[in-house]
Amino acid sequence: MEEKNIIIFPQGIPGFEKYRHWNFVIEEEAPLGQLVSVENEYIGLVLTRPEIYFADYLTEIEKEIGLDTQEILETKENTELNVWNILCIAEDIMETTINLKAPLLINSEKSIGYQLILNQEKYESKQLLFSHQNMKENREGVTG
Amino acid sequence: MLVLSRKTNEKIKIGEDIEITIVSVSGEVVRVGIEAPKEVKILRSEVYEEISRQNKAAAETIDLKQGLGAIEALRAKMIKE
Repeated sequence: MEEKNIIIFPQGIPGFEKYRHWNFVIEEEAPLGQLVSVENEYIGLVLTRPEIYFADYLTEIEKEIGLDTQEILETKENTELNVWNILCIAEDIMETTINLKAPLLINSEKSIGYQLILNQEKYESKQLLFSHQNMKENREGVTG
Repeated sequence: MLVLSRKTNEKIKIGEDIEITIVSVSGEVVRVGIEAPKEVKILRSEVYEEISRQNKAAAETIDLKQGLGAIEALRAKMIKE
């Protein structure tokens, strides 16, 4: 079973500013989600939960969630925000990158989303999802 | 566009709450200090462009039929891990 609901992005998503309504589907088996534009069903984004591959990420970005972001997301003191990051899937899955520079923050209670662009230089918009260590093991597995 | 000349340490005020300071000038690099209320989002313009490009690239990869196979592979790998 999949959970399905429509999230409104009041600011749009950079590159897709005119599409404000997105269908958000969370997968159960894999840590994946999909956002598909309600206005244009040919536009979709694949998302993952960042903490699975980048352990400190959530604590690191918390300090960048400012008043401007909180206002857009209509958060209250104890609102729980869900964080998802967009994947750029490559034909060779080991080349798949994750956009850590601009996480999607979702206030599920209100169904509002916002793509926050971090000022921190340490996070990149094209970070390899699978570490080099994983990549090595995988390649060895294939040849051996 | 309004263009103003400023020297190092001189400031520009925008509205009530925003103040820009020219901190230093070295060759082609100008360091600018910005004081603004917390609810004002400040970004380097090219960063927004980069995210915009990256979002479009991400959407394109699953636009193609072959992309769906890649998602399947990704899903399988993530479940395994």
